[in-house]
Order: sequence, then C-alpha cells, then structure tokens
Amino acid sequence: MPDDRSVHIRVKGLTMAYGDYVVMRDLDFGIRRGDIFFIMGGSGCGKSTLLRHLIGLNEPASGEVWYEDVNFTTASDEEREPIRRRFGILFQSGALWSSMTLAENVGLPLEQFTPLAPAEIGEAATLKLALVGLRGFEDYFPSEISGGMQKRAGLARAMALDPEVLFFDEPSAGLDPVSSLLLDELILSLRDSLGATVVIVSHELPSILSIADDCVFLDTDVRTMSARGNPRELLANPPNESVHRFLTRGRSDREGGASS
Amino acid sequence: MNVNQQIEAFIIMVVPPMDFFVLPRMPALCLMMPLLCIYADLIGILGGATIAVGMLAQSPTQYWVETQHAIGFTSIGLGIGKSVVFGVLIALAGCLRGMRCGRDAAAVGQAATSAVVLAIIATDGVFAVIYNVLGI
Repeated sequence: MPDDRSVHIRVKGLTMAYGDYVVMRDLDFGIRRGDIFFIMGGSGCGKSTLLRHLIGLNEPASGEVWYEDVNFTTASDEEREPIRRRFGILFQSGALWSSMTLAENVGLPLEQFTPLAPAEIGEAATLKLALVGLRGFEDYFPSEISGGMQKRAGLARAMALDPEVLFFDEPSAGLDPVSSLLLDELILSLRDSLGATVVIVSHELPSILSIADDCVFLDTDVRTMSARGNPRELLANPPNESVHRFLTRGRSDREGGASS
Repeated sequence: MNVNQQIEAFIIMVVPPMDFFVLPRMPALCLMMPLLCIYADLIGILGGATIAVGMLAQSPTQYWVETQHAIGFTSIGLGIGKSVVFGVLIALAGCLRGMRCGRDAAAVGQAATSAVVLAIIATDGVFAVIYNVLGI
C-alpha cells in the first residue's frame, strides 16, 4: 500500500456496539490526508455508525479514533472543539435548519467563527451556494426546494468554513444518476481546490469506482472490515468473495454458476 | 427523521444548540402567552355576553356591570401572571422533550404528547395547589 502522504485520521482497534449488540469489531485503518476515502458495505452493516464514531456523535465500545496526533476518543469537549471546527459534514438528509433560509444556513457557521461583517457573510454564502449551482436560491427555505437541492445546499454549508475534512453520509442517495455524477465531480473538484480529506459513506458502485482513492469494506458476515485499498484494485484482485460480490453487484455468483 | 440531524448538525459545527433552539423560544413564548391569555379572557367575556343576552334575557348593560363586579383585577392579573410563567415552562418542556426526540415520525408525536403533559398538566396542577394554599 503506498503511504506517501501523512495519515490524517487513524482508527485503532475500534469496536462499535449498540448496548450488547456488536455492529463491527476490530476496525483498524488510516485515512491519508487529501484522499477520497470510501466506507462501503451492504445496507445496515454499520457504515453510517462508523461515520458517527469518526465525528464523535457515538462513542466507541472499545478502540480509539485519532486525528493526527490527537486522540479524539479520550479528548474532552474543549479539546474536540478545534478539531470539529475543521469538519464539514453533509448528513444523509441534508439536515438543513428548517427555520432558516439557505443563505442563513450557510452563513451561520461563518457568523459564529469568522470576524466577517454581515454583508460579507451574505456574499460568502451566495458564493458557496453558487459553487453548488444554487445561485438565486439564497432566500428559499429548505422545505421549498427539492431533495437534490437540499443536499447541494447541505454541501454548501458543509464547506462554508473551508474544512480540512469533509464527511458525506450517502451523498447520492435519492439522486438520479446524472445528478449523482455531477455531485461526484463536485466532490473531486472540492478535494482538489480545498486539499481536504474526504470521507464518504456509500454503496453507490459508480461513485466508488470512479472517484475513490482508498476504501474500507465492512463485511456483515464476519462483523469486521474484510478489505482495504483502492476499490479498482480490489475489483481487479478481490481479496475475498463478499468484496467481489459487492463490487460486481453479485455477478460473481452467476459466473460461478455458469462455469460449473 | 430530519429533526434529530438538525440538532446534530449544530453539535458538530460547535454552535451551541441552546442558543438557536431554546433561547429564541423563551422570550417569544413569554411575550405571546400573556397576549393569548388576554385574547382568551376577552373571548370568554364576549361568549358570556352572547349567552346572557341571547338566551338568558339580560340586557348588555346589566351583563357589563355584573361582569365588572364579578371579575376583579386580581383574577385577570393572576391569569396573566400565570401565563408568563407558563410561557417559560412550555418553552422548557417543549425544548426538553424536543431535544430528546427519537428519529422517526412516531417519536415526534410521543415527544409532543409528553411535552404537553409535562407543561400543562403537571405545572397547572402545581399552580392550582399554590393558589389554593394562598387562598386566592
């Protein structure tokens, strides 16, 4: 595995559980700075749960999450704050604040953490919205726009503070193939312009195969990660059957049946 | 459900959710509850007048004079005073239950019900006891 860049986020021996029910155990991987990193796996395997552990919304049953040289798991709220401030997160449903307009949604993080004047914040919010193709929608409320637009507005909010780490929870869920392709291109160009590390939870094969630099595959059968690396290489050289099945949409079964 | 993620979005962005969810609701309810109380008082008096004049053959003047005798400023003042406290309590109860609301549509209903129970039934009972003890 090439490791020319520094590791930005490291997961050490992470076990995730809801009460006594263990979702995934012994996860161990590092996410390199500037990579587009996919967390992939079947529905309900704990992809979103892993994301929630990375951003500290859930606490691990055991194991640790490190951001560079800071142990995020044992850090106090005060120590977590500066790390979280460099996060940008796009929730599955967008999670825009429903009582605020799009411009206010994007502007709020700026208002909180930058010394900008209200007029400048308005301009910055307009600029961010324009980046995701929502110019002219500044004064709309989240309930007045479509699901895909909400997602793009959520993305504009996530990148309001030019974050170092962008987290996406199923960014293309509910989008048509063309919109999701555009979103992929947007993610790529964001990574290139911001130099951010991007962590994406997804099971969208086209996105995974086209933009991922690295990935981890969560396997429900063994309750841990069963593959790690560039998904295109994993597809060419699958380390095990479940990864192969996932990356080929189950086609390996049919091929196996045909050859026997 | 979207509601929960909106709160998480605040937490993640290190914007205290209290500032944006709880604080604006508090003064808003403290201001609106007395207005609602006055409105309800007026409608009540008007309703009484309709019945007294329309069905009980009282003259409007008679009703007005008797009403002035029956309702003192203490009663109205108590009602309005209570409504301000109610504003605070409803805001607190609503936000408390709302912040702990679950993720699905059913949870929203449950949260709303328990907030109403907490705010109105529990606190109105407390007021009834206090007024009774004070004899007003």
